[in-house]
Amino acid sequence: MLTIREYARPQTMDEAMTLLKSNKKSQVLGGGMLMLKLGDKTIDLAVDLVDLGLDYIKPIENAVEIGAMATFHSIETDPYLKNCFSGMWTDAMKYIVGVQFRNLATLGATAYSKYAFSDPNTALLALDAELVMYGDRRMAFDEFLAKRKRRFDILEKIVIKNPETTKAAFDSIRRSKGDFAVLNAAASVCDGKYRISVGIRPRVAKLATGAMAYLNENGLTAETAKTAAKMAADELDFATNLRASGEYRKAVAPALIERVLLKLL
Amino acid sequence: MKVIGKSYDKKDGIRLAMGAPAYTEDLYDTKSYLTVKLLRSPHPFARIVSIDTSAALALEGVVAVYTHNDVPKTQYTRAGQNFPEPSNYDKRMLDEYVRYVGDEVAIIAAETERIAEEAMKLIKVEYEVFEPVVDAEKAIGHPSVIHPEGVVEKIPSGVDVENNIAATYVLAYGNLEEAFSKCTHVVEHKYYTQAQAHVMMETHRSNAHLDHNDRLVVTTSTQVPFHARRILAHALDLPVSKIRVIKPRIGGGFGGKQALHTEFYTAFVTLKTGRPSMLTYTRKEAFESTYTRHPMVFTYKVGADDAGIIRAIKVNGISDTGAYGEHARTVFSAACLKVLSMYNKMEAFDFEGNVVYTNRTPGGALRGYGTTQGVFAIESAINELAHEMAMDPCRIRELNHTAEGETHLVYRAFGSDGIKKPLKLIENNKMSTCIEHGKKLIGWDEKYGKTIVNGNKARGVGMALSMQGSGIPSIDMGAAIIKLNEDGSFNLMMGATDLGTGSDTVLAQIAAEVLSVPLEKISVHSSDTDVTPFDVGAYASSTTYITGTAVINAAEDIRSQILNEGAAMLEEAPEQCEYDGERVFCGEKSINLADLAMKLLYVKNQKQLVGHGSHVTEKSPPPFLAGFAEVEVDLDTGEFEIIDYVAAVDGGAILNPKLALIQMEGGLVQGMGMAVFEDVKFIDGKLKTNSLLEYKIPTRSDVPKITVDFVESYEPSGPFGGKSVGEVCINTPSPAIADAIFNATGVRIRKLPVTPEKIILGKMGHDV
Amino acid sequence: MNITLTVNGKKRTAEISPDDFLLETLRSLGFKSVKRGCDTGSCGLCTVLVEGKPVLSCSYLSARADGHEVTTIEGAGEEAKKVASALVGEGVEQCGFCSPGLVLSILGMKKELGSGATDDQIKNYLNGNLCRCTGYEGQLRGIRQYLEV
Repeated sequence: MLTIREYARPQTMDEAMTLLKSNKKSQVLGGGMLMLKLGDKTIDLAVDLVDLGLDYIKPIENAVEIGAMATFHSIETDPYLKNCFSGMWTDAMKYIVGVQFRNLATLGATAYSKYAFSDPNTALLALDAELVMYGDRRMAFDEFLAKRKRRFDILEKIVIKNPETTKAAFDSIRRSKGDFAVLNAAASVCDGKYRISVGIRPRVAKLATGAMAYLNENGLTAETAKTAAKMAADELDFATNLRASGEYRKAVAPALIERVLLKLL
Repeated sequence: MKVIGKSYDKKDGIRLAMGAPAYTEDLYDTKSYLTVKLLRSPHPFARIVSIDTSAALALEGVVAVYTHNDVPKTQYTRAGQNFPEPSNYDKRMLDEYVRYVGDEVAIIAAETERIAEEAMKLIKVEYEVFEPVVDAEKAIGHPSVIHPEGVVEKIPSGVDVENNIAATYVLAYGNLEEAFSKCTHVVEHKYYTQAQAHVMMETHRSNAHLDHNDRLVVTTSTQVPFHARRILAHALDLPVSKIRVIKPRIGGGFGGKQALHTEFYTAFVTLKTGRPSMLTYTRKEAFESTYTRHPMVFTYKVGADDAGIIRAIKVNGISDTGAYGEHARTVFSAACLKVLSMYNKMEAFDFEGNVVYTNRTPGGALRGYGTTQGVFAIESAINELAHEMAMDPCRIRELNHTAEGETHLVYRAFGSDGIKKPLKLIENNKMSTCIEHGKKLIGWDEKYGKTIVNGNKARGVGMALSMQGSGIPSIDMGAAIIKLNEDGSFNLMMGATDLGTGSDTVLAQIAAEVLSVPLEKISVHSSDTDVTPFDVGAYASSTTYITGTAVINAAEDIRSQILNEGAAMLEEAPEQCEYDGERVFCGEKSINLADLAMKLLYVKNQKQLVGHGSHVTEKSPPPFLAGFAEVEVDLDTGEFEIIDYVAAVDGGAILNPKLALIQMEGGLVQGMGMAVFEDVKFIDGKLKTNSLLEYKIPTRSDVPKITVDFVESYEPSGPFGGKSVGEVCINTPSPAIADAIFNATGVRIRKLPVTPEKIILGKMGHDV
Repeated sequence: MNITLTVNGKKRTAEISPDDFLLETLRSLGFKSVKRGCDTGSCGLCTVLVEGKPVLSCSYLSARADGHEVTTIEGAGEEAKKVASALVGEGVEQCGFCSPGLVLSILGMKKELGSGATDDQIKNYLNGNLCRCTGYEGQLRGIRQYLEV
């Protein structure tokens, strides 16, 4: 059951931060309304970011800025983004419930909440992305995933570098197309630098740094893809949840990662 | 035929699609009705030592909180079945014992849902926790006895509460040992089916109020209004005459509403408080606290001789009915009767098993009703036997299936367990044609026996047969009343329950055909125990077959009255007159129907014409179906797609082809859900897959190309030749897909659902 | 708190709790076509249009809807009737519980994808609209009928 005592709709980021700090049991409302209902939560003050104009997707020099309130659906249909990153964002969002869900879920909330069950998080980790918090505080996404969050913070936007020159790919293993994936993986290459991320292990997405270093040194071919995929599967840990066993994840990870790498060729 | 055989739109189609407020939760006054909520047990097996409701009662807006001390101690069964019910009376409204996680502990009635939810948190319960029985295969002889106070058995079914046995079923014929000795090929394996959930889109709900005649009126989303009335009377110790049950439009059932769930609580609250009340189950409650398909384990031993004739079958089964035994014995017996009877060349068979109580969510009726579980086991066993003999699975079916005009040992053995005898001969049976058509449509001969591999992808085909019944013989009864209105239109009143299937429309088609009038002339009113005549309700694929004939009887009754009255108006003898749907005429003289109707109400020989009819029969002519699946599997990850599914069905004559097609497609996809997507996980007795986030029914991207072929057939005992299709369609996907997977990968999966993980782990040598 | 939102073209005010979701508020305002099918945002039955876009009303806070435009099927006009008729024509309005949400989603889909949407695109767009009665095939036939007119 969700209880919210007070609701506020600030008109500027500063106003939002002031409101947030004014109450110990306050919470930011981004795209995360979906997950809120699932718990038994009491929020004293809900600070809704909906009027802050953060739903943009803006190309800038050598990068693209995705506002914290940009929805999955706006991202997967954006005319600019569809031609960037080899169109990976369409694949990464395709099987998430349905459009009425994707018109509410935001990349900002998903990334900020570090959801382990997420496809977009795995995709984002495979790109050169940084989160920009209130006060222009910037942190690379992989660093953000590893560090503890601040108590009062507001995500403003996500900045991803080299959208037009980065080749990227995403794939997943899922049972029903309406379900969370059992395992997912994403990879990218830009200027000969490779990134491989694997998620829903079932823990949150992680970079396979050893496999990445191998590819950086040897380049990508059908053979090195196979080797790199095996390396990535070996260096990461897998466990069991309701959807699949760790044994299965470990057994099929090489095939999935190889599939993703081959898409980059 | 003017109306039968035509694909009319459902009468309620357009208004429901446009959102008409016609469902239970739309039909009450949210401001004056109390909201009812139920506090539920967090333990799989416990006794309530104490329960303190004072803090909850003190909350403003809470009107009442009831515990097991406040409700009648009567035991009943929730199962919607004919009286006397063959299910144990083992359930109380509230009990000192809680027998599964989700069992009811207290009833809260409050002014709003929010207040009721707050009140729930304030109830303090002290439990004495017992060790739960969580494994059906370990239930018998477990130190925990789930029903220590005993249960009431209306029909002897072998209950043995000390051993947690809810029912026993044994049916045998012939000398099994001798029959097996003649077999050159024998396979023996164990098969598991899971506790599939109905996931009807509208969860269970009801509301209750006392009307101006001080009678209890319960409006409920149910498949069984008349059984509901009787069972409520019993549970509340009220005469049946004081209760009215109404079923409005409902959002699906699939057997989940062939029982009472919420009705006890709204009825009780309304009776005690004098105020109307509403209870809507959440999706979580629908998963955890209603019932599921009975999960079963079957050990099948099947033997055939060199010619491929199956001479002997031995079956041991365990059905898990969970905490309560709704539909326990009848579902289990269907897994024998409607399954073994598909094959009649055997000399001996033995089917035995127990339905056991466990401390898990109860099992109950779900489309297919035991036949589904039995078909998975027998068809898988026969597919394995065929493989063992290097014989085409279609061929072994062709050699062994019960053919038209034949009987089966099962029917001879049936009488030996003391229950009424069903039909002896299967008179109308197009199974051979179903197999023939299905093979052609999927391309069986081109595809079977070859594992087609393309890179890391492999394809395979598999098949399975199924039959079901059409109503329960000598037990299911339906009735209809038809009255004539002044404009020559008719009101058709039936107890029969339209769950969304369109039975209101199909039954109206039958009436229209018999009365020779267009469909628009028939207005339907159904499922109101005060206004409509009796009907057992929507289950056992009975509505078209049983109620359809009742409608024919009622229509013929009023048709002859129209002729007689028309003749009287024309001052001629009825034998000299004719009625053609538009008028009654004799030579040059005629009176048209509307005119006659008007005169009969207002002008001359005034009377209300009413036709009535009932129907019950010894017959239950089975529908037959042959299902074929083609799959493509990624051998590296186990991911697979069902790329084609063909079902050729003999449902008798099809009265509304469009609606019958949707029944078939819907049932096939529900069967695919059970086969592939719907995984059930219990951990320590708690159902973990208790939301749509965890329990996945097929989405539209999961559905393959489906081809349905209605084989031409005519059942003489059915309305205009009809039988049924409603349940038979759900049974074949599990075994057909499992065998297709085997043919593509070499991995044999015997525990449902079939998953990519099981394919990979199976290849690694695990038991799946 | 009080909110004012436009529903089907008319301004409506409602007294809500900050934790009320649009589904409850719309039903309490009398729009019974909006249905609850689950607790987890998984089924799509509660779909309404907010500024023309399909969203899950069960997961959209009413407080956020303050000042916005909502369309339910009661106000979706002739176009909704065309979609509904196409579905009814294929027999796939069965229990009817998934229909209003599906019809609105189809309207959103036509606006975005146009009449030339492929089967795969249709299935993907509507994947969040569950149905247990029909097996979806007939719904696709009905949608094709609607788009082809």
